[in-house]
Amino acid sequence: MRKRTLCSLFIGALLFGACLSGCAYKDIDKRSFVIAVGVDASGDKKKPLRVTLKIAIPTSDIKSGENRFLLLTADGELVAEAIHRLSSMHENALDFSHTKLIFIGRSLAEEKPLREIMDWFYRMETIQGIALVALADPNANKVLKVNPPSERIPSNSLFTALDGSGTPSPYIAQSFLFDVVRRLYEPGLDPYLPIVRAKSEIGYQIDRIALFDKQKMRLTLNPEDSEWLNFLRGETSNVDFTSGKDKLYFQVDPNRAKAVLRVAQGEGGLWARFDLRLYGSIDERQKTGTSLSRVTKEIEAVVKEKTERLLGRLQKAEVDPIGIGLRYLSAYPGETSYRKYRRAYPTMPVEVNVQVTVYETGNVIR
Amino acid sequence: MQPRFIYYLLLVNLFANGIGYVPRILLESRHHGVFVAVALAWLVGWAITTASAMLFKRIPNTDMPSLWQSAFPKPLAGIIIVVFAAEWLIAGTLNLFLVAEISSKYLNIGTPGTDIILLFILLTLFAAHIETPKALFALELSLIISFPLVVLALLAALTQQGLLWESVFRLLREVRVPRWLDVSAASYVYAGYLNLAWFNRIVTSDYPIRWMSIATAGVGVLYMLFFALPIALLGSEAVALYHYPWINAANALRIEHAPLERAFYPVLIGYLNIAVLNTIVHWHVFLNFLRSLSPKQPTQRRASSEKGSIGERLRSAFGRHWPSGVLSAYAFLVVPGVFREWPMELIYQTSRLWFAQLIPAELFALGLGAWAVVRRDRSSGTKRRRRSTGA
Repeated sequence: MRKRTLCSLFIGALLFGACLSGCAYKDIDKRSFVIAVGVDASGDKKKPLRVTLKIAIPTSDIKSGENRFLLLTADGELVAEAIHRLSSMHENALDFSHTKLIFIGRSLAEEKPLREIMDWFYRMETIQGIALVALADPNANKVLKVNPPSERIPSNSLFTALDGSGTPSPYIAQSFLFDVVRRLYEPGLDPYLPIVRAKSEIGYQIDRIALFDKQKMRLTLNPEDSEWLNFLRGETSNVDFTSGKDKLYFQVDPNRAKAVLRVAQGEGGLWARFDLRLYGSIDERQKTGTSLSRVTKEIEAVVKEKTERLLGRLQKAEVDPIGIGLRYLSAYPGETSYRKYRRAYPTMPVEVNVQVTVYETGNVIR
Repeated sequence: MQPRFIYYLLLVNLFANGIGYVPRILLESRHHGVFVAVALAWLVGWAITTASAMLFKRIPNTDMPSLWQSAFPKPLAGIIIVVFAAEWLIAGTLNLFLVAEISSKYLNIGTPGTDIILLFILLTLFAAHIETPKALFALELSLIISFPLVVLALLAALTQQGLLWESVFRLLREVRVPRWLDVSAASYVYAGYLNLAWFNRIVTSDYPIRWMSIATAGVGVLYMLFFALPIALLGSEAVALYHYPWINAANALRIEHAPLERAFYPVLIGYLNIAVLNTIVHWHVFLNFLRSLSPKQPTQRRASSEKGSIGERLRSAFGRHWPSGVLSAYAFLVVPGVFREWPMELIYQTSRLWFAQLIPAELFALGLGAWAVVRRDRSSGTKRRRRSTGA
């Protein structure tokens, strides 16, 4: 008796499952995987957005240089609308579950608030929270067209470059979708995006950072400042720089570099302090006159100057990608202290303490 | 059966609710002293667990329905049992709604939620009918399979780069008088122990009470972590954007050097498994609460059902199986309809109502239990004497 009930239940479940496969379920050969989405300004008043999808074409065996992909472009008033239009230009269902790159055209980011551009991306359940977001220069379409010969899977070179799993380059800032969204809303912490520049048909360069406040793009940093910002944010310690006077090249030991931020409220209002502790080696030195201790002092001065200049630029543009405000708010929470921080930020004093140890000079003593 | 099954009940409830409804309800009032609410709920949960552990030790191998029946007049006991059975039924159903919704939104994209909920109902109904010891064994087995996936979520989150602990501290320092709903909702993660209202029948209660206290305290620590992680991952403001904060937090998990870079799907499957288990446990308790209402003469009834006329056999079958009928009718007629017609927001509103009455209901059940023990002991003086001599 029991067995029979069990059996009938089981068969019932199977039959029910069979009914399910009717409308919603699609086989993998009826799906096309969108690996990158680009959003540009189209210049058209009525349909201001141009959406480009990069769709991977699967091949049976993966060979170097044989990455095949398809680019589809459509204009629309909204991102979702343009994508809806794009689905009629392709035979398969568009599947966004493998979308790992979101490119925003530079001119679009300059004229439209970032939150409005990103809305569709964080609203869609299928899109990964760990998709990489970047600014594309001159536009997303051009960058998506770049086809490096070393690539085996479409856009794979950009994934490895942008998510830090490949090149250790300190210029590249990682920014995942979830991070961009939280920075759009978090008081005292502002979004940033790496800028990917298409250099040619087969190459690109990622060495700049675009900084946003809660509304719009405010500032782009040059490579040197980008690197230093990445260091101050704690993302990379793999930094190096040249010190002009002695024509030397200082390489910081990534395992021992430290940047500690303190923010507090003193008698004169808010203040912040960066304590930088750098250990490093001199990789090249063209002028060898001065002693090592004096060179160390000079490097310290260079680091201090670099840091102060960068922080000054950030404060002037009123962007806070490092999270000085968040650090302050975590110590003094509340709405009034947020307003106080907003008022004080552009002019708040930031003290920079640098301590450099040159512990390695290669084969040569000095 | 050994008391280790209590830990599984605790853990299943913690994970199912620590990820399900509770985070969003708490995070909506994140600027109204939510960490105070979590801490208070810890105290409340600990107190209720310890008190009920003391109660269950007084009634070894007895479930709450039979305790109430032995101590109160029959109609009163019946009403009490039906009321608390409904509590368990609603708890399970709310969980099931969330499972179906999350599964259709994130896992089986494009499949209608009603189809998915029907499949889950089929599974849950079937599993709720298993005999109690087997249900506990199944619970143990499934939990052991799903548990690593939840641990993966915790490990992946804790090793993630760029966690905003400052955001957590920011909310932590906003000490305010918390809302009642938050305290009550946060205390739900400790309520797994109350499933013993039925399972105490077979789980031996020869464990020291301090074990239970320590276990609940441990659950509290785990829950603090569970609650803080979405804030650290999604930021103190953006975390309130989402319907399911923990699911979106899991979507942001990345393990760089793992075969699967995206930890989302393992974590999602782990959560769904555990939430379904939680529903099964709740519906099992519901079913057995109702069954305890039927008069108990199983041997005689079975004998009559084998012989008698068709009418008699039908009547006896109805007498034995009406709780299953009630549960099936509810599961197949009410649940899919509500799920289809109500938007998820309305279900959230309902869950709020349910959470608001949770602590009073728990205290009420405990009070009734304690009163029943006192009454029973007073009415049967001989029993009492026997126990005192035995001890």
